[in-house]
Amino acid sequence: MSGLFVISKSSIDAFDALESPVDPNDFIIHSDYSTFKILADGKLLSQTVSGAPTTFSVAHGLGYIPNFFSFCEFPDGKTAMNGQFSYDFTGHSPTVVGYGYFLAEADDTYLRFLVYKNSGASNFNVDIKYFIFEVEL
Amino acid sequence: MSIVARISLPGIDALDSTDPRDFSLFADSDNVLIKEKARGSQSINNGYNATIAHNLGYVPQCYVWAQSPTTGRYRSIHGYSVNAAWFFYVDDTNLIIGNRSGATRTAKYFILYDDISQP
Repeated sequence: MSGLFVISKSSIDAFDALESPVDPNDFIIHSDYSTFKILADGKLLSQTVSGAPTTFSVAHGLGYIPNFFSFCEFPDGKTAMNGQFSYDFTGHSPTVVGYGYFLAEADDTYLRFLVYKNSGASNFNVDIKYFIFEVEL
Repeated sequence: MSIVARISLPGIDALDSTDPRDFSLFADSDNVLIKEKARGSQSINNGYNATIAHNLGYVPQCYVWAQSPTTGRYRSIHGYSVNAAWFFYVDDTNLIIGNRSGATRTAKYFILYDDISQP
């Protein structure tokens, strides 16, 4: 037997919104559509960045490449999501924050967090927060 | 015994599965309440763009991951810059993914129903 579970957004009548054509944006949740389920999350505290990059790894053990989000807090309190990757880091001055640049990547075994220290900067510590979703890339 | 709420996707018997991927809501863990429309994978030659039609008539939330040209590992793509190794943008009709990484590599994408033009 199949059923339907929906929660409509504020001020939207769920019964009216279920009449064709259905707009998924009328709902907070609709059981016909998948969500991102958080399988694991964690935080790496006070990780010392001494190179360009310094790499920190977390084994996720899923056996497939998962969807993930990660965030890095730099010593000035600024927190940034893992960034776009460029042609060549050595040829560009990182500009996201004063300390360096934050990347993250995944394979079927590990998440790897790459923090780049600006040329000439002293070593510094970062906190890295990550969320791993069940969704397979 | 603890009680959890699980809502399975169409065609899945909620009592037969414990795989979070089979569920719209899986209250064993926290959920990001998006509505997924499509996911896919596309190999893109260096210097080319891939066009993935969504035909929603509005700009949907999208996420894209792409392979590093050196390691082959997947990194998320953000922003649109001609200087970037990868970029993506989205309009009312299509998701466009560009590869300027220097090698043929694969991008993986998620298109959500969630309309980013809504307040």
